[in-house]
Amino acid sequence: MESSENKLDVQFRKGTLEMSILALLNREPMFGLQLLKKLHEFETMKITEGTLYPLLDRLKRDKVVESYWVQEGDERPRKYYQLSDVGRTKLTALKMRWLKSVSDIQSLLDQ
Amino acid sequence: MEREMARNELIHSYLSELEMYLSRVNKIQAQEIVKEIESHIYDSLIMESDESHDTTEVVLGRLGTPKELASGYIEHINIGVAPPKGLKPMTKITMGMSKSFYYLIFVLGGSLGLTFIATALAKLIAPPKFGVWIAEHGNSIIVSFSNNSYHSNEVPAIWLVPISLLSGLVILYLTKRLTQLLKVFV
Repeated sequence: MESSENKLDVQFRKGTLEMSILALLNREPMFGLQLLKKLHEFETMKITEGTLYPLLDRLKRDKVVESYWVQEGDERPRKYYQLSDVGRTKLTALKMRWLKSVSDIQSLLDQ
Repeated sequence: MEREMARNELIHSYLSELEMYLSRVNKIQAQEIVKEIESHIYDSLIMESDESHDTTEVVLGRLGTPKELASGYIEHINIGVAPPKGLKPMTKITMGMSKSFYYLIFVLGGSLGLTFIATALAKLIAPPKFGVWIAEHGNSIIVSFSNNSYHSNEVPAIWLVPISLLSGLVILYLTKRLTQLLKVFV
C-alpha cells in the first residue's frame, strides 16, 4: 500500500526530475551512473536505475539530449549524455516556469 | 575465480533476457540499450566495491527485472494508453492465445525445419534409396525410402540435398524470429 504522502512525492518528483537531469547535464556531460550518484545527493531525487535509463532514452528520442560513447584505456565504454540546443532552450523554459510556479505557491502559502 | 564466473553468468543471463524483451525495439537500438546497461552493471560493481559491497543481485535488483526494465523503454517508444478496465479479460484471452500460438509455432516450425534437414541428410547418406519420384504417367508422386519399381524419373535427384537443407534452415530461422517476437506474451 502506498501512503498518500508517497504518491504525492512520486508525482512531484516526476515533474521535477527531468528538469534536474537537464540542469545537471548543463554543467558537464555525464554517463548514467555518474548522473545517478549526483541525483542521489539530494533527498527528493533518489530514483532507481530502472527509472533513470529509460528516461534518458526518452530524452534522447525527444532530441533534448545527445549521447556518445567514450572508452578510456581498458575500461568498458561508457555512454555519455550532453544537452542539445533543444535541451538548453527547454531547460531555460522549464526554469522560468518553475520559478514562476514557486513564487505563486509561496505567495499562496503565505496568505 | 569461480565466484567471478558465477557473477558473469548471472549478468550475462540478465542481459540476454533484457535483449529478448526488447525484441519489439529496432535491433540496433536494443543492442545499444543492452550495451549501456552492461556498462552500468560492471561500473556499479567496481564503484560499489569500494563503498557498500553491493552484490551483483543488489545491482540487478535496482534495475528491476529484465521484463520491467524493457517495458520502461518500450513505454517511451510506443507511448500507448493502457487498455480500459473492461478490456482486461480480453487482454487475458489474447495473452492466453498468444501463448498457445507461441508453442504451436515453436513445435510446428521446429519440426518442419528439422524434417527438411533430415531429408537432405538422408539423401546425402543413401542417394539411390531415398528420393522423390514422379510416376511414369505423371499422376502420382512417390516419396520412398527404398528403390521402388514404379518410378521412372526422379525429381529433383541430388538437388534434393541443397533444396531441403536450405528450406529447412530458412524455416528454422523464421521460427526463431517469430518465437522471439511472440516471447513478449509468454
